[in-house]
Amino acid sequence: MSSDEQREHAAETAGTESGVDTAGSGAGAGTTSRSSADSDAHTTTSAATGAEAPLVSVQNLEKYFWENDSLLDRLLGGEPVAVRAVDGVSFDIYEGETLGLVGESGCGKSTTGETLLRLQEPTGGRVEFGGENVYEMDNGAVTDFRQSAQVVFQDPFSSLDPRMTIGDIVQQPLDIHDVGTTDERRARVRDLLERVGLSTDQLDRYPHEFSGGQRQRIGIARALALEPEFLVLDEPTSALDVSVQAQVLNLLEDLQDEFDLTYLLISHDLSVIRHICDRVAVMYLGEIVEIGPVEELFDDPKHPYTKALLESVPRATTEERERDRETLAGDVPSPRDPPSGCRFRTRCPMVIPPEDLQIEQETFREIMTARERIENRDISLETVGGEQIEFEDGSVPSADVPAFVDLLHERLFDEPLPGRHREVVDEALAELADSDWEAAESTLRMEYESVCERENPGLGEGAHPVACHLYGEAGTGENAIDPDTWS
Amino acid sequence: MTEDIIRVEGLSTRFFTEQGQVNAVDDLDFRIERGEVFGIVGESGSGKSVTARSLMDLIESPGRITDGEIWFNDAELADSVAEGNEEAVDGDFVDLLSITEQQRTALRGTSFSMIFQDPESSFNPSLTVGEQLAEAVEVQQRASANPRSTKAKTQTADYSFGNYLLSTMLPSQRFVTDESRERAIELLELVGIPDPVERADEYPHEYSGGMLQRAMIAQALAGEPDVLVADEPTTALDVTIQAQILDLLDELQEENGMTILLITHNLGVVARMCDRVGVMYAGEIVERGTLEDVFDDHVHPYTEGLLGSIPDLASAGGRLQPIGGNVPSLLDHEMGDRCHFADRCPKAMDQCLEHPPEYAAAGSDDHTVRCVLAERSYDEQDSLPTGYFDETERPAGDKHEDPDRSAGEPPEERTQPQTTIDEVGGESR
Repeated sequence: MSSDEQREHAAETAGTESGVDTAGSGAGAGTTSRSSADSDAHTTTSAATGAEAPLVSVQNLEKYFWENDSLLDRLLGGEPVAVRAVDGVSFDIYEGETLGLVGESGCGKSTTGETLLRLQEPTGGRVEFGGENVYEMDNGAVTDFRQSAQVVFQDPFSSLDPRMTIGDIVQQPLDIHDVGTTDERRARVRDLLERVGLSTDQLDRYPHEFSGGQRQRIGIARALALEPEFLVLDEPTSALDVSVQAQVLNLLEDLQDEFDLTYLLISHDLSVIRHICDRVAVMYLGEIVEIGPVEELFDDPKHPYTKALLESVPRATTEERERDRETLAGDVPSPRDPPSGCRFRTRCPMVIPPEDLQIEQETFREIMTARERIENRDISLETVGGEQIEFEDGSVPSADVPAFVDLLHERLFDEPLPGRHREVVDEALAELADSDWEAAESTLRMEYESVCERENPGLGEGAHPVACHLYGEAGTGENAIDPDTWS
Repeated sequence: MTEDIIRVEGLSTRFFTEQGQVNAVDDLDFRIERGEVFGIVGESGSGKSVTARSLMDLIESPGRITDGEIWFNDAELADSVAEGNEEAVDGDFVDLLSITEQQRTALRGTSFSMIFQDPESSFNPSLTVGEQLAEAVEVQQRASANPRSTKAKTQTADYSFGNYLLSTMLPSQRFVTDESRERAIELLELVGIPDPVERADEYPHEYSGGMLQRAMIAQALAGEPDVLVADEPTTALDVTIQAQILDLLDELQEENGMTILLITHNLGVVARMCDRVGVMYAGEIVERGTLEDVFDDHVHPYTEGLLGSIPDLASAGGRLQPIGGNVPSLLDHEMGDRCHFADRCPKAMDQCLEHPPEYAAAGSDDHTVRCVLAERSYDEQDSLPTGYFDETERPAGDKHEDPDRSAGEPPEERTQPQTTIDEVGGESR
């Protein structure tokens, strides 16, 4: 997100449209005034449903961004391409807890945070906040929602307006929502700054005079100004040094205790998640692959992606060099054209072979990777033969085909494949000698099609659901597969 | 006994800014053994990137290396330099700061290479990756054809439209020969890029971040350097990709016996990669030693604070123990002649008002620490009164920087000069 956009967003969440009519403008500083009807609805729902009902409930949330969607593209007849940033995400956040949302860059975690706050309009799905659908609220209700749900952004350098003093920045949400009298607002700002660990004589300074950690404190003070119930923390410490990060994490924990806040913490840093969260959701390419209580998920991760993620983090101990690590190969695929079935299958070290196939896991992984490249037409056949084999009009002279297959085999696999697999694969490679990609594809698919590419496993229900075929049908545990049976 | 490949003595790099003189690197000593991975760890603004750049001679105005010697162990180089410049040579060692600019330049790539933090901005977006790698190969070949000469640089290779047109017609005007292209592809393969033949013809934007970092490592390896300086090589990458890159560096180091100077803020990366470590703070190494010395037997309160700040991945721990305050500004007139950490130190004593020398500490022979606690234990009687630094040194500022600590914390401000350092050091994340 560009810095301008972020600033705009910050101001927007901090106080939606200005000039909104509020009923209790005489309410004292520290109490929030709301338009009465809606606030009643709010309190009654949360009170009636009790502790069981989640504060925030996200159901099948989708957010696509469209490419090639300008007027010119339409005139030229181009098909818009969907970038599926968030693709059917569901989770609940209960009052007083911290839910962590963790994943690599580009997996859609920040978009999820923004969309559930209605900073972005969703493509599909619904979000309930205290029982009310956020996307169907009218203007008054949205204003209330924005008072009770706030956000802290990642980059403390671009999310504060450089032309406003920090006093004004923190006061702005109070002004926009017309809370209290001028004096009361000022007093509240002082309170807030003190609470986040800044001194009140810094009120008239500008953001550039502060360090990163201090600016993040200002961002937190601004988010707290309206006494929200729920905070989305979007990578709140990833721009900070570790010693300052620790200060901010401690502060967030204190504030949660003091004000009974509910957090959605978005982060790529697993150790931060572990430290501060009660439950964790792991995201990969727009989907949640595993949700569970923090202890369980870290001590006994189920999804192969969660396992790999945990393995990859270098620990700051002297035993680190001797630790056994299994690192993931490859990159995250593009969300424009996500893999069919399970989205992690292109990198998964545990990808499941067809039931009746006798094959080593590693060999199967290699074959699947080669298949992926053939399906993406990601091999330049011209260069395979080098100088020796002529490659003209998309094919190799028939006499050279065996040599071509050998060279291509060598290029795709570290070691020659064992036994029958070599025959099957080489048959497909021979089809590539005529540039017959489709034939090669189907030859290989016939033999090696995995359940992981046919079906999306789905997340399922329960306290610790996991979206992986190894654990059977979503939520039921039926048809679970034991990895030991297939090698 | 392994020999030293680099000895840095009394290195000072300063930046002369409008706000005053910034002592980014201050009287720094360290040595690196041949074939080891030496790590420098510290927060942003501690001077670690400037150290790396000083070694590569990449300091730009308003910065300057004002003092010190960088001794590089290379018998061949020593021979060629010895004539006419005896002072710069000491046995097999050559002082890189006393040789001529041309000799220095010729070392870049062949003896020293550097990889940077941000691979996206380190490549030219308008040339294919293969071409950029081949160019690096070409430069190295010319350098080795004319060792230590002024011709080491690409002299004709100005990228201009005219040259481009000429190159389409005259083979001699092409920037890269077929051989260097072949070599570029080999290098891409070496760093584990799948299908290097095709990838060589792609542009940087077609690469993912991890692949681009691999390509940058390939470029750095083009001249088969003795020393690889890696400045935050994985900071911009995701953890799964970071693990891949660290594995790659490990492999390359084992195979080629390369020496690596690793600059990072991530203690996990240090633990994963390094043999010896220096912890840097305010332009100095405050504690150094083997990995075990620094992680298990550390003496300096800063090292302790740094390690205490990391949330534990293995268990949901209690409260973190952060260091209060911020990294100091490094402005000369604000630094004073005391222990630079004293104002944030929970164990600051009267003695800390004098700048401490390096003391030997328990553990391996290499373990030294710039803190009086190596010599004596902490005694509350001698501790500085609460709020000592508030009145004496800085204007009133942020008294409540850290709510977890009593009001005795010093005010710190990180204003413009700090930004300058950040820019120079390129440490913003």
